[in-house]
Amino acid sequence: MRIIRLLFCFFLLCQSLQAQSPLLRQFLINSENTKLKYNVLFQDHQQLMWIGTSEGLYQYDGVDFSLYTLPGKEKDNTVTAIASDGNHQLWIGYQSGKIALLVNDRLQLFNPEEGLPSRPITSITAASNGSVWFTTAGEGVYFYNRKRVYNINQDDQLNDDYTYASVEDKRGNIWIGTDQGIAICRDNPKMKIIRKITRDQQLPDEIIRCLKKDALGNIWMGTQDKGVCEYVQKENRIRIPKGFEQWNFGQVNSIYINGNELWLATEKSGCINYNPSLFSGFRNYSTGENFQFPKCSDISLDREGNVWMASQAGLLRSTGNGLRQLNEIAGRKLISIHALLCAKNGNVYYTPDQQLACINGKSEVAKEQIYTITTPEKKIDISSLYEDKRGILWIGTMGEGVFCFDPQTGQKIKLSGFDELNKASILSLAIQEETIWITTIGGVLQGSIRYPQKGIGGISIDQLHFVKEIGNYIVYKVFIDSKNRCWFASDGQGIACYDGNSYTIYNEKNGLKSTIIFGITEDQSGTIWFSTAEAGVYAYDGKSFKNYGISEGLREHSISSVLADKNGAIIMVHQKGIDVLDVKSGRFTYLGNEYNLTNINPDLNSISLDASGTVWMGTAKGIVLINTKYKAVHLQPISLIKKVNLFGNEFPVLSGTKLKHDKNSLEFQFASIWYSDPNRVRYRYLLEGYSKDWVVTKDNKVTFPEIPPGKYTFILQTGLGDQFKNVSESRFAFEVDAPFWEEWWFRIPALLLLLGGVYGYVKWRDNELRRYETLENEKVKFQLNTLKNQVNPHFLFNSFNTLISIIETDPETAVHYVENLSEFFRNVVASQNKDLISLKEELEHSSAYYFLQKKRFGNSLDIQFEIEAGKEQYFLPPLVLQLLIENAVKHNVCSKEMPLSIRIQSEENTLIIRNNLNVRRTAEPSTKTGLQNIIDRYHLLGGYEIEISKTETEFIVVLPLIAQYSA
Amino acid sequence: MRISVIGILLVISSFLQAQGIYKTDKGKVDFKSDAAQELIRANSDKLFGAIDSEKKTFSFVVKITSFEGFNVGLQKEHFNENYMESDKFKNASFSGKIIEDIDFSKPGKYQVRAKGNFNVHGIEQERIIKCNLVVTANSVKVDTEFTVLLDDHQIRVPRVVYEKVATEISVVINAELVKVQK
Repeated sequence: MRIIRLLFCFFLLCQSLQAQSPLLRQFLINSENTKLKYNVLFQDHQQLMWIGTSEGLYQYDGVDFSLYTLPGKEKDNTVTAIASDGNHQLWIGYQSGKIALLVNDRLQLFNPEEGLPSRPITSITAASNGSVWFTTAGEGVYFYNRKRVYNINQDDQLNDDYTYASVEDKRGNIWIGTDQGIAICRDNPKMKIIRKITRDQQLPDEIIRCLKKDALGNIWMGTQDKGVCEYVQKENRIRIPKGFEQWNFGQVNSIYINGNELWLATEKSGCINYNPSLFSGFRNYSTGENFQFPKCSDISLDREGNVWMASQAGLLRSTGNGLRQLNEIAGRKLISIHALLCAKNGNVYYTPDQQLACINGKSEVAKEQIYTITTPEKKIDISSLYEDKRGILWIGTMGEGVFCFDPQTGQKIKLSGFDELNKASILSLAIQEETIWITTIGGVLQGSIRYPQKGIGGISIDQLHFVKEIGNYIVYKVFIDSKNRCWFASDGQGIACYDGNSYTIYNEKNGLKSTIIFGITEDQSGTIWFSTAEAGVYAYDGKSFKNYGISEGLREHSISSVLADKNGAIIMVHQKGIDVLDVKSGRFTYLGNEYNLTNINPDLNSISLDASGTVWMGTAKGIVLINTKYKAVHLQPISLIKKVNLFGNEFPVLSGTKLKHDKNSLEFQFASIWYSDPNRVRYRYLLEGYSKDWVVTKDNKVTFPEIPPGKYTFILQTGLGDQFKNVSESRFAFEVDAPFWEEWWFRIPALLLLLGGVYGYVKWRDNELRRYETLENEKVKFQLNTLKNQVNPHFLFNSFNTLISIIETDPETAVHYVENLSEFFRNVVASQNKDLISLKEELEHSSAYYFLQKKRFGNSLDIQFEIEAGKEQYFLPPLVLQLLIENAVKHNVCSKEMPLSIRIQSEENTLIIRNNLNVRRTAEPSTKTGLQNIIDRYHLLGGYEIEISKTETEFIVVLPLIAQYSA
Repeated sequence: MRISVIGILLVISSFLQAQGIYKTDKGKVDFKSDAAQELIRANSDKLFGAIDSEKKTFSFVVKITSFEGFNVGLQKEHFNENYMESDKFKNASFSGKIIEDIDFSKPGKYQVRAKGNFNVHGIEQERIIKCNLVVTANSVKVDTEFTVLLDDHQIRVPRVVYEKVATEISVVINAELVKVQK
């Protein structure tokens, strides 16, 4: 999505803003595309603004415009209608006849089985029963209900196939505005049209371009040529409102109803405001300082009271009747207004450039009347105006005395006879019954008025004197409250109250932080409000003083004027502009830079409230009008978390989402809906669970990289300025999963496994060591035994006997015999350190032994070897074969009659040693350790088992052949 | 209901008097019921249709008994006797007017929406059906695909065959209508 920043526009505007009327501000989505058409406006439930343009749908949050275009290759993105249904689902209608839905922040084509219109969608209405209505220019009306689309056109007796507007009435019927009047329809395919309203039913014009329902359920109709008319539900008739009988503003494209006022977008006269309680007739908006917009296609008001117009000059924002400025009248600039008074008859008196002027507050085109006070040439510095109960205007001046002026006759007199009065610099005056109070820079003057029967000619003042109780200080203001008490605002002495009997003075002793009092006013509950030079404003309810200073949200300490209006708001004026306090909510609204209201230099007390509730303020730059009925002052900006993206990508995350441990970089995009003054908005955010500190920023996004596992809540607050007391808040909760290796279900078993592993290894190592030790022991034992056997006397004796028997007869053999004997012993010694030797070696070794025994027993001993090829590479413990042969010889008779036959054969992975059984009756002494030794050694070598078996005729030992030998 | 069918036929025959009439009596209708347990298909090539290219009106009728196919013979019997009651409601029809303003004298492909009354099982529903047309000098080819909800036409299916008959039947139509020569 493309976000078009307004920065460039803002720079352009900043230049022109100084000159242009700041109350009509222009917003251009794309300043380079001058052909961009702004067709429709819509505000959704979150107060986000949607603008349908010739380029597509734009969302505007007060700061950024974001473009939404149709998916695929849709060429025509011209939006002609926007609506939202009961589920806040946004429906968008296009010039091409296409209809789209906004789903998960993307546009998606609406694709019913019935297909889509091929003519422009002119309006969309989502009815309360769930059906959605689409009017088209040329195909009549469609309604979508229970997944089916139905059509109503001329074949169904619709007035005309050109339809422009739709609205649901109180009964749930849909009114359709066509080229031939109104058709009232139902979503019943069997009975589509209930009723028609045409010229025959007093419709002023047959072409109905727009429809709107008001709070009473009446339907307002905007026509092509005859302005606006109203269907009055109760009376079941069409009414043409007063003033609309003659209409010269052209086709009405859109109606917005705001209480008792109408805002109309017209085809050739810009925007028209109709507000009978503020002015008689219509107020027309069609020019800005440097732009014009005769064509206005749509109009809408936001909750703050701003009027938004989709015009040919772009998107325009006006402050409507909430805030107006009067900077010039008939080409004459209004400057340096020192005093201003709203008279009871609706006239407003003010003093531009040391003259007395009057306009009618209700006239839509201000006509100024200038009055001459003395002579036309002489300019008089008028510092205060007061209207008494007779409607006589009292004019206080700086050093020129006091004048009385009768607006009805135009007669004026100067009060005479008092030197004090002529010299005095009058700051304010007030009349209480027959008493006149005049405050000056030297104290308060009190006198009695004598009125004549008629006119002002005989007005005179008696007993004029300075009030001693107040002293000769500057007194800025005298104010008579609803309880007929007199309040005096002094410079440095606090505020004084005269209840008819005595004076009470409130100053620092009563806790006032400033005793320089500028202005006094009374709200509708009877609370007295006064403004100070150093401590903001105080509210006095008769018991205690409540201070509103900077810490309460006021922008300035020094408040030159204060006025309570009829809607519970207190208007406070200072150097930075105007602060409006909503007493009930305690919230401040600020009017300043955005409306060119800084340095307006309002004079003290040139502020007045008219009968309609509008506050008029005379300033150095002109007159400022505020009406809090049309400007919501109790509101705060709305915090809105617009998007949460993963890794800054367009991958929206929903609240409550669980994120993977490695997908944990979140970008929050947010907005603050405060269209009145988006530049004042400050954000404050906190990622609960991550940090404990709020971060205050002007940026509308923040990224949190690599959030560690845990539960978090992103909290966004927005405020106006640095105060974040009772502001709107928006929350987004999410969770980052721990990686699996940080989960308990992984960690605990993993730990157990590790411990088990270590334990197992230790155990194994221990066993191994022990086994090794035992093996070593066994080996030593075996060697010892073998040696013992081999060197046992019998063996030696027998060997030597054999040797003796052959040494003479066959000396050569004897030599050979001794060689073999020595080799035998060498073999025994050589193999004693080895665990295993190859079968081949063992066979070689045992052949020496076999030779020795063969010599001894001759044919009585027969040893046969049957070793398969390849088996010689296998291994076995050394001397085992020898030992078994020796055992056989030892335990069996070995004679010519009963020869001993030993067969050594390999079979698969075993070596089988078998001998026939000729058990000796007198066996040679046996240590009985030979076989056991072999068993143990095999066992220790790795759990090998040997088989020993005995049949009736044979003794068999099966030895495993060990395939591999690792040293 | 029979009267309305006769009415349609009368309308069609009245078409024949006018100019710019396209008609066919062998259009193809396929329907498909894609239920959880069984897929049933049937078709008819006896769709009668006529379009008046000047008034942009149209009418299509098909005899319910002309549907062939089905998985077993018994199914056809059930279809006719139990569900469609084809002895009472002999035809399915759709007649009305084309919403778009198209020019039949210009050969080409068009997508139009036909708005009319769709009658199945004696129950009439207003429908908009999206169609593709191929217009040539002498013929109009119509092909379209749409769905029919059994509920809309009060076609009752016994509970036991819920899993075998879809509640939403998809229908495909292919027909070539030929210009009637005077």
